[in-house]
Amino acid sequence: MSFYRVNRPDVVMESFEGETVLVHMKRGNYYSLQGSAPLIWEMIDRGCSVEETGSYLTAQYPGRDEEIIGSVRNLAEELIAEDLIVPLADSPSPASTRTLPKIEKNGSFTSPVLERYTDMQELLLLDPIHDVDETGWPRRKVEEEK
Amino acid sequence: MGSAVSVERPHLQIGTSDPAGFFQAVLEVFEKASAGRLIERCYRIGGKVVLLRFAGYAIADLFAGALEHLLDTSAGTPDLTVQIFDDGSTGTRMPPAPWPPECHGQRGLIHGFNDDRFFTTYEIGIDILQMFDACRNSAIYWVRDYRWIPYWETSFPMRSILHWRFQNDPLQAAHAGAVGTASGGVLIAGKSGSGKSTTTLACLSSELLLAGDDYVLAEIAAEPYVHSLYATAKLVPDNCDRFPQIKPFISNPDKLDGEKALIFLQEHFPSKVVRGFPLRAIMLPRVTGLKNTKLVKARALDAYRAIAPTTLLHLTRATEQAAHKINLLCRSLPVYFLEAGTDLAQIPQVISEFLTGGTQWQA
Repeated sequence: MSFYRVNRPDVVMESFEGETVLVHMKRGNYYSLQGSAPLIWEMIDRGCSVEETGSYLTAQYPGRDEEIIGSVRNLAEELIAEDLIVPLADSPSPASTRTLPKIEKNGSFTSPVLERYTDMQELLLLDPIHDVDETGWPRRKVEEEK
Repeated sequence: MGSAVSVERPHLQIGTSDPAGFFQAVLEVFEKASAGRLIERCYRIGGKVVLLRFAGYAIADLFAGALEHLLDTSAGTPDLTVQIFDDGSTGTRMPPAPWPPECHGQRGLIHGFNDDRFFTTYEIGIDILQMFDACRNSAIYWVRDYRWIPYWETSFPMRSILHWRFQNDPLQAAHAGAVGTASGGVLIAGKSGSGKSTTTLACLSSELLLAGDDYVLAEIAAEPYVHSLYATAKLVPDNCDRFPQIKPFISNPDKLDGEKALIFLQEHFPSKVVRGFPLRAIMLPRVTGLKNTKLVKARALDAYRAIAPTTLLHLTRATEQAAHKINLLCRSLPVYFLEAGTDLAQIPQVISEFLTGGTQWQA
């Protein structure tokens, strides 16, 4: 079983109707989860494994097992690659204590979408490498330009 | 500039994580640096009394322009006291940083000097130390030399310290402008280049007042309110020709090859600056290239995407708590795309029509 946790506090999240917005405070990226991605994210955040999440969704949307399980796995891999979730060695909570999100029965399964926005990165990419001067404080070598 | 004085440098143990000891040592340096030249100014910011203590006029004058509209001589016991000084004009010698070089993290955060009580950043390159003690509501703002403070810092001084102080209050610094009248106004939000400054500055030629152009303090409440933080406006140089009335008042006209044009609004447009007003909506400018301006209904999500990522990434040590406050703000107000046209006069007209009510825009 593959368990993960949301990478708090580096990742800040807020949910809206049909969309969850994530901000990665260290990478300077923000993300939009759409389609079934907010639901999958919520299940991971509640301690469900990727396999449990896939099983739960296939039970809700019968006949699309292969597509759903593949979608969950692919999204999990994307989330890991973006450092939004972190692998755990074991379940963060007993399965019996987890509450699972309700799914609108009249809806059909929609593929998860993770959109990434990188236009804020420049705020964080200032080079922290520096020299410490004779006063004991760091300085950049460009300071002569001041 | 004041005359230099010789100040003995306190000895601090490098490599130890003792933010309380370091904070106290710096406070003692400030007391020596400000002896005979202490200037105290009291402000009301977000309903809180903020006392700024400067070591001399050199640095005090740099802060005056952005905050002058919030001066409050009747203010009582401070909710926040900030000690502000530099080495250059006072002859002070700040004790060496007590942390090893590897403690400098992203956005100036100092590892080992940030916990539930202490908030510490040091911005390498502009050499500004900001430190806040949440137990005493006391802060330090030190810069190596006041002459090195960059123009953008004078447009929003102490942004981090104010954010830290207000983090547990229903107040949230937000990357947004705000225009309106004393009876109500709107938040203008959007990333750089969205038309945010164009929208707020277009209102200078109308009956609408400005509570801010770039950063404001939103009060999260049943009836949301916006408090002004800084009476400044910044404009990309290419956009200045559209605002001939502000061109004579640009504070850095000889540096526009590398800086945005900075205008101190309280100094040059005092009748256009307001300390705050109740919020009626959030508007998200979109540049259309068309002549006319119009409002198009948007979602709370659109407002959150316009405000939260930039705000959270600007403000050091912003947390899920800040994100949630922005979420609540966005959900508590109607949201519109402000499709800003090239006829700038229409922008304040459309906002005013919305605010006066009875139009099709009221949600």
